[in-house]
Amino acid sequence: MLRPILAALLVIATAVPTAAAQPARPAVQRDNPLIDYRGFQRLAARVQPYRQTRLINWAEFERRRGERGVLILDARSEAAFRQGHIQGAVNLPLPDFNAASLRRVIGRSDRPILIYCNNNFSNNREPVMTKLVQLALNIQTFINLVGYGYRNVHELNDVMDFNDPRVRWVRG
Amino acid sequence: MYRVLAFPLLVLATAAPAAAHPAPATARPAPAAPLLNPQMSYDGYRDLIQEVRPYRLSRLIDWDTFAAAARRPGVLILDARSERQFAAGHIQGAVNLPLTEFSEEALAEVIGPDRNRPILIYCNNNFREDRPPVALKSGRLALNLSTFTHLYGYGYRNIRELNDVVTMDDPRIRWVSSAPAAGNSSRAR
Repeated sequence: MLRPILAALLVIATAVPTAAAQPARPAVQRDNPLIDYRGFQRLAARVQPYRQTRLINWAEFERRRGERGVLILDARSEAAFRQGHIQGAVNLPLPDFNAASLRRVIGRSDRPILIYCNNNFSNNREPVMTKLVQLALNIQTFINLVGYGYRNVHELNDVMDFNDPRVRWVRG
Repeated sequence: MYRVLAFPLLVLATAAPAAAHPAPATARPAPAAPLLNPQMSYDGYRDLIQEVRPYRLSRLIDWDTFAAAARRPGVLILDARSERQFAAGHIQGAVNLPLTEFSEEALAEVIGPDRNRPILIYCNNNFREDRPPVALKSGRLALNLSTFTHLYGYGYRNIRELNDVVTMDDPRIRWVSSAPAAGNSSRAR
């Protein structure tokens, strides 16, 4: 009875350190102290189930956009935003996100925010070229907003045609 | 010894059948699962960042290596900050494609057809100043992380990331700007 169990434990005990001792060899002595990849992974893991509860369809997006204090945040680049965006949206490109810029654009941390991106459109044309499914901008924007303390975010889940008059697409 | 081992086994043995019979469906109606946008995959994103992590660790380089590589023909310094921040200042020779503009087509246009072209990246969190146009981002949301994972996700396999924290006024950096930083920064407005 004990033999197989002990053998199994021995295998586990010897296998674990070997696996852990062979990550890719770091090219530098120590990582940039201003960048935290593990923290980023943990954040992405923590946000996933929460985001799942914050996906809304177009009808719900329409309903919420009219409510007081709601901000439609478009995190695409400035040039893309100028070419076209959902009426009423405010632009802050994702690379410009930091604590100060978000506070300036959003204000209160509990402000209701609606987000959408390229991959909410079926057009796959400028200015909403479709990105790879795993690199959709909404995923990044959602993680960033929560990471900077803005949790009252809803994300459009539908795929629309920007020529659909309900979208109220504004061309630059 | 046997006792200690037998106890958890007993717990498992009794717990398993219970788990096989879930609570009756009448307890609480499960919320209807939203039909997910087929153009997005969070699972795919998490798999990607998991896969990239060890690779990125082996691709971090110090300033001297970065500068030496930048002098070689065919090497591209890619700056994924916004157009505005890039205009306000960047490392000499860098080319700008904001992260938000990344797509199969846009990357091919800037980088070319060779997925093995050497690419050097840097971002805000490589600078000590913490002021525009390189105001610091949260460490876990540093732009380099996104730029690295995105390039990898789109198939580019020769990426190196500056690991040092430097200053804009270090002459070795050769920081150039075509627009005044103060007036154009997101922070200053």
